[in-house]
Amino acid sequence: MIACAHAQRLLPLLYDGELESPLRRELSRHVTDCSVCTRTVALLNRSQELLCQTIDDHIDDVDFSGFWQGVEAKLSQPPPFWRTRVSGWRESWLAFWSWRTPVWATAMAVIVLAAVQFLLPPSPQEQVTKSLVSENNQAQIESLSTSNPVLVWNEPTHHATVIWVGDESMEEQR
Amino acid sequence: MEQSDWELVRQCKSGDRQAFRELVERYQRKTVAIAFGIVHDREDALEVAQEAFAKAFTSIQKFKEEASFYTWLYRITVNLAIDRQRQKNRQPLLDRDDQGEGEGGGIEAMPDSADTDPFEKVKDKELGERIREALDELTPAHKAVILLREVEGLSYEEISDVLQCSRGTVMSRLHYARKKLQSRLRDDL
Amino acid sequence: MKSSPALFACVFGALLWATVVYAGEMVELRIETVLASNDSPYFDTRLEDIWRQVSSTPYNSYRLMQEERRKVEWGNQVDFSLPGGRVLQVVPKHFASERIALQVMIMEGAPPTPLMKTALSIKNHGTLFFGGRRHQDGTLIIRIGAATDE
Repeated sequence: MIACAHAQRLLPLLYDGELESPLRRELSRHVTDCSVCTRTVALLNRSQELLCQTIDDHIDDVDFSGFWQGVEAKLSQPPPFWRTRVSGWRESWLAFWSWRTPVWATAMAVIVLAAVQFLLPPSPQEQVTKSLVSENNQAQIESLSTSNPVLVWNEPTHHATVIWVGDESMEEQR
Repeated sequence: MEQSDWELVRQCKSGDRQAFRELVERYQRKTVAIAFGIVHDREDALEVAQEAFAKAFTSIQKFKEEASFYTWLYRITVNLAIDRQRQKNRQPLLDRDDQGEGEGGGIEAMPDSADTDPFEKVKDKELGERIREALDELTPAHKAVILLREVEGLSYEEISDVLQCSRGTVMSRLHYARKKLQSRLRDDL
Repeated sequence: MKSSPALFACVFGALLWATVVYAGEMVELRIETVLASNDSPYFDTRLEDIWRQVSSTPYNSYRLMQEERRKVEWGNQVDFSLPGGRVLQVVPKHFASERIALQVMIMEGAPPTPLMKTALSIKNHGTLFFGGRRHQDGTLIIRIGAATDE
């Protein structure tokens, strides 16, 4: 049986057809028996109806008879004045570079240095550390935040970490 | 028999404009709707949609067929509409006010219809205004999410594909946009 | 500014080279979601390679619900949909001393609310398990595997 507070958070998903069928059926059953949830669905429905109606009213009034001709006219327009554009870009680039060249030269040097650093093979010491670390299959958790009860353990065969985020029923089970 | 998007895209890739025309006719309404939801102006929305189709055709060779054509097209549309909206927001306020009064009509300019009940007309106008206000309070990214979901019916996965963001981001943005819309429309809900 | 084009070419070349080098650095994430329960003894044969590991949990039935693999660039966030409208968000942070540092978050509901957030590292080609959320008549166990060729 789905709780009403939980159902409320799922109703937009139900309304948008984004829930898979078992949960959809369960939630739909709940909605038929719950006046609060029925009202929420009605609100979603009505606001969609009003938005569609307003847009439709305006679009119904649009004359589409010359629409294709409009598209064709745009297609037959000469391609954007690429020469003008390119020369415009060139001008602006030249103007830009004239006083920012030293800045860009420094930036380039930084990029090249970073790339070289990045591509250099790691030192042997680093490789040893890596091979040791690779033995460890556990997750190294830096931070974990949740308002729900949580358990963390490593499964015994491969030591992969399991993070168990329970709900209210977990407390009861424990 | 109606050809699939993929078949039409393949024909477009070999330069078939007639195949592209079919795609345009298939998606023109949806594309204009998305653009309209972001720019709130019919003329601008038409312009954005046509531009999106033109851009799609000229870069159709880059389209990878593992994605669906419409999510790709919507991505182009959303990006162009956001750009258009930004340009518009940079314009002086006076210009924007003038545009709102123009023939293209903003979201508040309802069609005149002789058989419409005047009370309903006023009510619809007010409602349209509130929806516009609610959408205006959203960032373009939030607007795009709610339009793609509520108006176009895209799944979270498709929206994340269109907007190039994660599923979690789609869910958060959708929640926020819905809350905003509902708080503006609480009298009508 | 006669030297500008040459300098521009150098910087461009360096950036291009750096892009190519870094573009090759991907990490493969593998997510398997298992529904563990005490219905009737059952073991999904697709879980053969991890049966010893999952059997440390107190259930007698293990069914693989979904499996997904994705290649991601370092620092990029990737979301995996989990049963029950949950989202598993993983960000591979960096690779050092043969270990892959990950930031993992499980979110539930709409809007997605963080249920658990952790920063940790696992061995390259290693695995990690998360479990405990109730689903249908059982509990979800999620295995996260990460591997890089660096």
